[in-house]
Amino acid sequence: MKNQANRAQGTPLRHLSKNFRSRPAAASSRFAAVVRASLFITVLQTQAAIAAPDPIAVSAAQGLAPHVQQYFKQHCHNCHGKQKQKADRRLDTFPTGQPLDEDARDLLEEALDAMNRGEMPPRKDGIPAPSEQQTRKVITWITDYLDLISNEQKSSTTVLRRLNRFEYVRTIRDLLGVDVDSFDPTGDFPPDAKIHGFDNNGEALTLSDYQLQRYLEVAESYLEQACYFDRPTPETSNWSYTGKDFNGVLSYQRAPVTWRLIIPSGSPADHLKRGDYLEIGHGQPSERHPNFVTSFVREGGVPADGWYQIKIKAAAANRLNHGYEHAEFDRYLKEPLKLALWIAPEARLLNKNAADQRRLAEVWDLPDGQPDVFTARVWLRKGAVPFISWANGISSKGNIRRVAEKHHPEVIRATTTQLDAAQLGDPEAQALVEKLKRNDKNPLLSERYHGPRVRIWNMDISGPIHEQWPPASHQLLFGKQMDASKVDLDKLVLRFTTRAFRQPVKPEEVKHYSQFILDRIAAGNKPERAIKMGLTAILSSPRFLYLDEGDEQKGTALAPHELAARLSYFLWSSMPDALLTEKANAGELKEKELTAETQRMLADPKASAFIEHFTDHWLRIDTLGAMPPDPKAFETYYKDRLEIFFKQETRHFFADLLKENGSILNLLDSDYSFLNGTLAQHYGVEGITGEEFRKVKFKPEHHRGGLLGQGSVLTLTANGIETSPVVRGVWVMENLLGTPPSPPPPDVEPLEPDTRGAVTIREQLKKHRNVAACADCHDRIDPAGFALEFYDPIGGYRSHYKSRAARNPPVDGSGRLVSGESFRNEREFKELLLARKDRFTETLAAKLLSYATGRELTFRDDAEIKRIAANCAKQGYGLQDLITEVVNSSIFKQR
Amino acid sequence: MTGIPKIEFPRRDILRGLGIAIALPGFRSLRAESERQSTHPLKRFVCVSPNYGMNPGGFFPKETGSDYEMPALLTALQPHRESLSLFTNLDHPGVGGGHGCSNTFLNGVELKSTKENPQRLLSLDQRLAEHLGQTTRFQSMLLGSGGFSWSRAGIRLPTQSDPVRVFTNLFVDDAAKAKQQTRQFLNEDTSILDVVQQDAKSLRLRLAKADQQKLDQYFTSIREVERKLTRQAEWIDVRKPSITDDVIRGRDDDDTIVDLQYPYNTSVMYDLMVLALQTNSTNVICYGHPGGNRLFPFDGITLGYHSLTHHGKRPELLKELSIIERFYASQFANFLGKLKETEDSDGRPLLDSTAVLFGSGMGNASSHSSRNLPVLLAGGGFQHGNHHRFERHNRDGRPLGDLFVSILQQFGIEQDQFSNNGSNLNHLLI
Repeated sequence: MKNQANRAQGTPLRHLSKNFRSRPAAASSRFAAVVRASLFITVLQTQAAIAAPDPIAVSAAQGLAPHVQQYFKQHCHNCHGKQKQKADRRLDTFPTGQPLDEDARDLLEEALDAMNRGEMPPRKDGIPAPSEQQTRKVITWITDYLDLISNEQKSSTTVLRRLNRFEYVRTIRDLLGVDVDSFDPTGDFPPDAKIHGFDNNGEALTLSDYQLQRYLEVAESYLEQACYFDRPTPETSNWSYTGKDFNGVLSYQRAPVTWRLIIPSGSPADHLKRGDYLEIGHGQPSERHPNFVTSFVREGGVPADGWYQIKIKAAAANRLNHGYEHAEFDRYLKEPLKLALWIAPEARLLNKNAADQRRLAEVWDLPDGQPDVFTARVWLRKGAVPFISWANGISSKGNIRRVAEKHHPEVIRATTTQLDAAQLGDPEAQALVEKLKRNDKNPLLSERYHGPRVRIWNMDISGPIHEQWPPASHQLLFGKQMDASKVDLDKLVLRFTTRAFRQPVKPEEVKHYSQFILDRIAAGNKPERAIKMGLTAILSSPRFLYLDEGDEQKGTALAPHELAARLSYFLWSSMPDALLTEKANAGELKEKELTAETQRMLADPKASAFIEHFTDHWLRIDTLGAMPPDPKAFETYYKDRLEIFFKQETRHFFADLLKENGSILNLLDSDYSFLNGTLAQHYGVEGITGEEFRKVKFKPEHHRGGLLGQGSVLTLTANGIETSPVVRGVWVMENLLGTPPSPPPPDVEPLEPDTRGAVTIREQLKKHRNVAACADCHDRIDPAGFALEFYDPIGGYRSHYKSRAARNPPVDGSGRLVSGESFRNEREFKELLLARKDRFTETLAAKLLSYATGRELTFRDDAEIKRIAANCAKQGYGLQDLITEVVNSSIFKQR
Repeated sequence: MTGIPKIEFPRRDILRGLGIAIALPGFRSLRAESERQSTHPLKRFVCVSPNYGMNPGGFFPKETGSDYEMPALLTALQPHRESLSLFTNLDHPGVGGGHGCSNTFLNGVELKSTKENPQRLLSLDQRLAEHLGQTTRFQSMLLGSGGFSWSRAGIRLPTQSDPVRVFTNLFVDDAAKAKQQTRQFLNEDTSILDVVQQDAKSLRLRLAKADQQKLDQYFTSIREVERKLTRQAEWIDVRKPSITDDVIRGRDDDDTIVDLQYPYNTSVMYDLMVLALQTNSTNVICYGHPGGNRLFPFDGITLGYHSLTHHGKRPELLKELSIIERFYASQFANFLGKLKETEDSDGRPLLDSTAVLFGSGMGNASSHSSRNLPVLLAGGGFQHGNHHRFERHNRDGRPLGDLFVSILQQFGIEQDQFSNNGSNLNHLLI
């Protein structure tokens, strides 16, 4: 219970007092979206000018500003003062010279909410009405003030942080030397909490008993995968299959459909004379009906864990010369047919409803006519089954049926659905079924249809291939010792904990683990089992699960091993490797070493973790798919696998900047990006085909460049069905300019776009911006969103809206910033963004630091961020330079 | 989709009278013994919560008392009106707006405001589970899309949304060998937890205060896992109730198809809930309907769910939204019907001993408000049949915590403080 006395001194607190016990939430919650202290923001906003209210002096050390007190006195005290305390609230007891306590802040926030809603001050006789401008000024001041206080309360040090799921998996990979791509038992971990998009915030990450139990189980299954005690060197086996070994239908057996036809060598249908082959006539990006070798499945998949080589001889047929005039095949004018190699982790997952549990291993562009041989090397777990599909195929029920209805009406037969409906008594269906009956004796679709298809001659599998025995994972833990009873337990535990805890470890600190293993053996466990239990215990210890950043008593500077861990979790999302650990063993990591290590680590393939995870969370790309596009309106999003390509574009773009030390300003605007054939088509760029991504130069008419031209950002800022300038505007403010707007005050009825298209979104929002309470923020939010109205919900360019109600209205992408500059379209808007390049650099520096340290930054960090950004600018805005500055900053080096 | 007859949204109304016919060998006697010891009629608690709440325009009756006209969204509940109460102007004071408020339905506090005392996040269902869940295999079951169940340690609890897995957990016994293995693991895990505690203890000695709080979560988790392992060990040899898997697979002797895709799996989940309660597998269940912007496959729906909730009061969008919300209400009504039809081990309707709370921490999704929450209480243990409207003083309605306290007390938990309550609603409901 808190002291409520100062809210309404001397007045009885009737039922309301109870309500306020949980009120303290409000102050911090409302403004939680604010990254930086508002003092800083206010200053920067004037520079950024994209979001610039009048700077008003706000200080958390002070109470209410005199002009606010004056306003309250004139317009509020009559009812909420000494004489009357309507609703038990009085506003005449706020201090001016000293900070407000928690209750007073709650009260102030309530007053703010009421003013925002326009309820207070009420328009009544006898109450002097303030001017709109006066009210807005007071609202702005109170908002900034509450913001500032909530920031003041934030900690400037990192709280003991648990490894998140992403880091956990990568740490396991490096610690145990196991393959984590082929097998991810962490799928049912509870999602890690996110703060401003980042999922590695120590304060926000929690640990539940459910999660701890999963840690125990998952550690066991990873260890199962890592240890090879007593196992003899496995033989490498070879399996060779031809087309007729697949789960197809022999062509002469009158296959009704064209999905999978087997053309045996020498049969009448075989005109190619290259041996048996399989024809795959349909396919979906996420294949429900896998094409696999039946006998291989009967044998139970691969016999042992290991690397396998898979060779497939395949070609495309009838890509262009199918002889149909039909839009269904237009996509193949510009792109090759593609073959996908998939892995089903177990044979039962070949079931058509298990598509989401299979793994896509490779996608190849197929040549027309003459076959090619494609080779992949994949890690397979025992029992896994490789299978193939036509990655960019057409659907049998949709596309092929439409083609057949037009070109081969004589082969059309009733579908099961139609038969069912007829049986249920639907007259329409009954008539149709009756009509189609006459086709029963006609040839089958497979005998007539000659659309595009994939041909498979051979699939050869060989493995497991082990470059060494025992495998690397076993050697990493036990060397070449294959007998568990001969393992030197003290040595094992000391070595393993030193790596697992990312710290030098003294034998006596970890003695209990080797003792535990001995106890288990004494209790009757086999040595191998006991060792695994011991290692499971270590992997469940808080010293492994949490990043230990040392003793606060000994100062805030990170010790060498702590700093090394921070660096490796920043760039690799994993533990330090041997080289980095050696540097830490040698003592203090000075600027020179930190810089050199940063360069080395960024060049390592493990840095893909940084590229992927940082962009995913800074830009919220991980939310792609949370609001899935309407499958009817945006079929291509699914058919062409756009989601994964969008992600890859952004990652390639960022990775290239990192590798080349390219200017981060390219993120705001650029004349290039990284595309493959599918994306190029989506963006309207000619002449790019194939699965492979490559750097592509844009022309102005493509309307692309920078993050704001990328499908990832444009899709995640729409809701899958329509676009909202508000959401996109907020995204720009938050992620590019670091000035997130406050969330809307509670209980304000939002205006939403008219989705029927009768009125453009701009006209809708105009209403919004005509309301004073909304206008202050929306004048800042909406312009960026207007500029991006040229892009539909999946990032396609549009000059006109598609309207269901009226004529297609043209997109108006013009706008005016609060600072007064106006723009006509997205291109001019990006120029205005570029004019704020320093603000952007500071934002990116702050995002990097927040990600690197696992905490929210506060106003105490502002000066250092500005210094970093200025240095980066001086050196030409290189991304590598920026990261080097970040790593050498005082913020990075302190807990 | 040509030639297919139009089907109304309760697409499958299969499993007629499900539950009634299921034989429960051995259960009745076992159960009756423990039930006789209790004098409180209420034994079970179910909470159902749609993430985006219910549109207020169609949820709250105009009239108060018993003679109210059933609101438009709730017409399916008309047959149950004597078994339910509706409330207007129940709030979670202190909870801000935004999507987060959906998660506060059962505790009335936000994560952000409990940094110093996370135990305040404990939700009503988990408080009840501590009381009601000691004699069942599962202390509580959290189904669908969760988010609103919080443990005493202040952690949001995960849920199970796959009906097949729910069924397996409830009714499929492990093979003997797997049981043996599990027994071994349970034993081993317990011993592992003993060892790691040593690390945790030595680590704690040198941590700063904020870090210690994090490590306390670790200690709490260890204790909880140990408790769960013990419980699991106790139950491992108790055979699970044997039930055919009609509920998830459909029946051979008729043509009904069980669709496990959302939203059609809603009725499957409800059926599983009835079975779980009937077989005494658990006494506490929460079931959440997810948010998101999915396009519901119903006639007349053209926009995603989330888009519809931001209707801006436009009639055509409200109409679409009402299709979804009426679907939820009708499924819920079917559930109440089944609880009425199904007998517990004493031969009484399950509904009589079950308190069923329907509602959301989202008051008005269009404005993300946490005021005037949609709340409906049904089942046994209370005086039902009325619509209660509370006074609103300026912005403040009645704390929902008042209702929670009445629920707790009626379950025999003598506690007069919970969540944000000021008092209780005993005078209206008991």
